[in-house]
Amino acid sequence: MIDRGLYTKNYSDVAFVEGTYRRNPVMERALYEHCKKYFEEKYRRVFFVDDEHKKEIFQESFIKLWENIDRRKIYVEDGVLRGKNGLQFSSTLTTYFMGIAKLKYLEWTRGCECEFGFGENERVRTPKADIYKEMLYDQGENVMLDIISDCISHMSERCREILSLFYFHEKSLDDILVEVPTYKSKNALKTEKYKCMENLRKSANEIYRRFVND
Amino acid sequence: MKENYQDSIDKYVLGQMIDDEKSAFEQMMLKDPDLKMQMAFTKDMITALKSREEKLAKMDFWEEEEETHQTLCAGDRFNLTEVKYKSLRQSSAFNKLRKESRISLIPFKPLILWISGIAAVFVAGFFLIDSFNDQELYKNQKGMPSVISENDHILYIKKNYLIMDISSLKGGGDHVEIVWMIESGELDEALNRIEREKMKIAFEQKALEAISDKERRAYEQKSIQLKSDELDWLKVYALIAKGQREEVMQLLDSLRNSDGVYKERADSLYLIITKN
Repeated sequence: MIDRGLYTKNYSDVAFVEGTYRRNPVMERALYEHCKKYFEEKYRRVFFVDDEHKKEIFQESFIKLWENIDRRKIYVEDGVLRGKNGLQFSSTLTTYFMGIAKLKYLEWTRGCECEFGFGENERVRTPKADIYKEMLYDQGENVMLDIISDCISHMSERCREILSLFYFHEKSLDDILVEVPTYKSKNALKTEKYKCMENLRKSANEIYRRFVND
Repeated sequence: MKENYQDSIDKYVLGQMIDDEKSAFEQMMLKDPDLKMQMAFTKDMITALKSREEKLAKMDFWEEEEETHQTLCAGDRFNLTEVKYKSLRQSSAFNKLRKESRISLIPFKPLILWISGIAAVFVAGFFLIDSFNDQELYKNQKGMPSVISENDHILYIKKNYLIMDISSLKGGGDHVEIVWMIESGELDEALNRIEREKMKIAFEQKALEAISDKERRAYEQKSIQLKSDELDWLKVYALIAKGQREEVMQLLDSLRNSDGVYKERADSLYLIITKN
């Protein structure tokens, strides 16, 4: 078990990013605690939500920050923290993190019409804010991966569960039928899985078309 | 995207194809751009899903560890009937992560820490002389009592947890039940119950007029005031958990301007919320 004192310490932004990128468990946890503390202190200035949604917004924002570090959207070079286009990071990591949280909050309130619906009766709405493009979708390598990640976070719980069980936990359709008994047959489950993927693909392509090619 | 392609793609990405089948499929992909695109999309989706699930598993683990740590720290103040520890052995995402990265599933230090904590609880419970008559209520308590983390009157509120020392509540079993309602997230029921208790207090207040003994009347008045302030404080927490900021601020303002026992706490909390 990691000594608690190690991850409650305050490290520099450079240390957080480099350590997290190298999958150092202490730094990953320290970054989490650092962002969590900052979020708890500041979120009420930015938005007003109940505890459940606050937790959701925090989780999604932290996942996004973490993925940005993994995918080298923000990275350390020669001891300097760099961001988009290799430019030196102009803000602190926590400010950047709260920027992501603000966008996640906007999505949650649907203020920017950024909801991605899955299923026959759900519309796929068109994203609008330019800041989305700035903050979340970099025109770098494999932007589609970023877009798909974001779409997955908006996916219905039902779709996310099926796809996670099949592709992440590598369970067979028969095993999934046992765990998710709402489906009457293997074929029904298979069709549902396919629909979830198809809708995910459509949403991702729509965003790609609207944001990246504009 | 073609449904019939997806079966073959799934077999390929999950490593379920034999070598010959795999080579033939790879040849097919070179000739069919739609198949190639569908494969690329599936791979990206799996990468994104895997990344997300791994991170969520770690975050859940950290949260559980932190909650258990705080609970153990406060263990001697409460009658702990069980340690709230969601078994990570049942978390398949975490187990998958553990197998791949050899994260130890034993999140705590030595077992002796657990034994010490539980022993401290039993000792504290044995010596705790409770003035309540409703000891049975504690024994049947489900889940974890809240953790108090108090530093210069600053109380940290967690989702569905009420930070109260239930052994010192003036309102007795009725107020303890309100605490449990708030802990278990039954916020509307808790608020309704608070209103009912407030009505009872109003009746008690009226009944004071019939008491001729001055000293006794003063004592009863003080007792009623303490219970009333306590109900207001419980209401503050229920409203905070509900996210009703305006009502919270009004109630805190009223508490901090009174001369009750919660004056200082209300003042601190009021300032913290306004500062944020």
